[in-house]
Amino acid sequence: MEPLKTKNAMPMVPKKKKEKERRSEGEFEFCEVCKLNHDQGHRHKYFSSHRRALAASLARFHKKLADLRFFLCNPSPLRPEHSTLNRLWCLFCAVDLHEVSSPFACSNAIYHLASLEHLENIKGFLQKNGGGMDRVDSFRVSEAELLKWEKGCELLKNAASASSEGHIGPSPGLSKDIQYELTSNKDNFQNNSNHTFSSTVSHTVMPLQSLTNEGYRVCPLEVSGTTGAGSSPYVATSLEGGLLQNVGLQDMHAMGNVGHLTGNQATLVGNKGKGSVGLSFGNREDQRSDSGGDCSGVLQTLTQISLPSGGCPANVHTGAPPPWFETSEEHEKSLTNKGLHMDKKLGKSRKLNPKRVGAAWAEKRRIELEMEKQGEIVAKSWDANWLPNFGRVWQAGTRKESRKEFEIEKQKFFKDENKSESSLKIQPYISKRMGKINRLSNGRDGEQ
Amino acid sequence: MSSYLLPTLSRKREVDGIIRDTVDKVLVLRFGRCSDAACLQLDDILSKSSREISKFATIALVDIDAEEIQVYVNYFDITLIPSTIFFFNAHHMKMDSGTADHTKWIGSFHSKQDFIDVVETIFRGAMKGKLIVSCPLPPERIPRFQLLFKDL
Repeated sequence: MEPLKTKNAMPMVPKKKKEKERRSEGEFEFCEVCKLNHDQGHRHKYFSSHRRALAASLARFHKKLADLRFFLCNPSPLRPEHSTLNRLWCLFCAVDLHEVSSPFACSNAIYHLASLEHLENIKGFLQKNGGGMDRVDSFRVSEAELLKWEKGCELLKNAASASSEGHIGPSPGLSKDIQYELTSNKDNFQNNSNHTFSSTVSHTVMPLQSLTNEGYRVCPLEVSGTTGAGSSPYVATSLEGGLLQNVGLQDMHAMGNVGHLTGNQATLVGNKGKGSVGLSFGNREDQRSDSGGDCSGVLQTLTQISLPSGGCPANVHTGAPPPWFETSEEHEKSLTNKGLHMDKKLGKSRKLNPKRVGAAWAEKRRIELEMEKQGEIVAKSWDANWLPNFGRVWQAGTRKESRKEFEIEKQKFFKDENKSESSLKIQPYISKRMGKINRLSNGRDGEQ
Repeated sequence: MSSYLLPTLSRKREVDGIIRDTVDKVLVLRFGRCSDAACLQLDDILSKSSREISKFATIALVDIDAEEIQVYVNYFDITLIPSTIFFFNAHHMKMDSGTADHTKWIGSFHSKQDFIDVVETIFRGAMKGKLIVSCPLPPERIPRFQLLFKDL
């Protein structure tokens, strides 16, 4: 015979789970994504606010990973002065990834993203916060990518060790103007052990020889070991020009690989805004040299653009205003009008919830305040006995009623105070015997 | 120290003015004394978080020892300090924190984040049209007190 199953024989595991769920629903927990304490338990991850916050934080992390993936595909050396900027906060592992002593850009971050621990943390995070388990691979570095990156790094190292002639590259501690100090510091370069990067160009490091803009070319001065033979030297007649040259050099060396100079400014670590190479220099047309073949021997992949044939166009160096400022008065007026319309439209779109607490009062008060500011109306003088509606502790009923009760109480209190003040007359103490004696004596005086 | 960073009100018309002039923002009024220890702790938290919540809340301190403020002390039934009262568009906002008094917050907060969470909950409730909201903090972080009716 089969044993009888009683009604009370419930399996223990589901009960415990239910109890745990009940307990967890009542307890508060902190959601890292929303930065909020909640008692919603597991349901919280399905709330729209949580989903929005999660989507935003994952999108931000994706953006940072996009930069990192560039370095993954194009391994490049990391200078120590840029190592502090090259940081990443791993959202899933709650770990700050520094690149203090790493030889290549984002190397610590890449190794971390390829690790098993990170993969487990991603899975745990997405399970807990509900981000979709199909996106796990987009937040990590696969083994194949890691191997490819490591190979690229090895090639860089080999190239660096192979280039042993003369100038190895300026050390970060020296002046940024290497064009003039290159020859004098040659020995220092060799002895300096702080070489943090190397150029893929196997021959000596040269100043930027031609820019992306056809109108201006910087040809190197006569420096020993350079291959700029046959090119006319650049005469820096202005301070700006000299700075430009040095800035261009800095740009090139920060990249380490001249081939990347095709306007990809996002890869400059810490050199943002400084590496702008494409400038229009119309008044330098005289200094254009036809030795482009020699100067641009390294920059063959760049495309040259032609300047507009408008003589000497105004630019930043001549002090002219930028083109977007050159508008007629009418255009400006129309812009201001548009701006006003936009503000009104935005104001309407940003309309607050009309059902919010005190909405009508708020609109009225806002208009009054604006008119007072503009001086159209005089500031209203409010009653000194004004009180806000307040739901008192020991009163029942509506707030208006509680306020009226308080006002009645206050009036009663003042009346009682006045009465007590008027009735209060300080008199000397007279005992009963004295009182009798006084009355008797008064009576006798009256008879007499 | 923090009383220098936050406005301290000692006159009735100043309190009236700030209640009426704070539009579409939560008004946090702390009733207390700047020499009291619990008030000092609360003032420290208020001053540190005032900037972070400045977009949706305004904070002011009210001195309960001032003569003109006594009418508010009686009206708001303030018997323990520090007491924090919340307004939104001149309407009083209540909060159910599991204590006997829903009309105000009595005592200090454990951390800045707790205070910010409370103000945020009030703001969200007010924007949805609620005059009473429930406290987002766990019970162990809510100060306990005993409320006596007219000292009985």
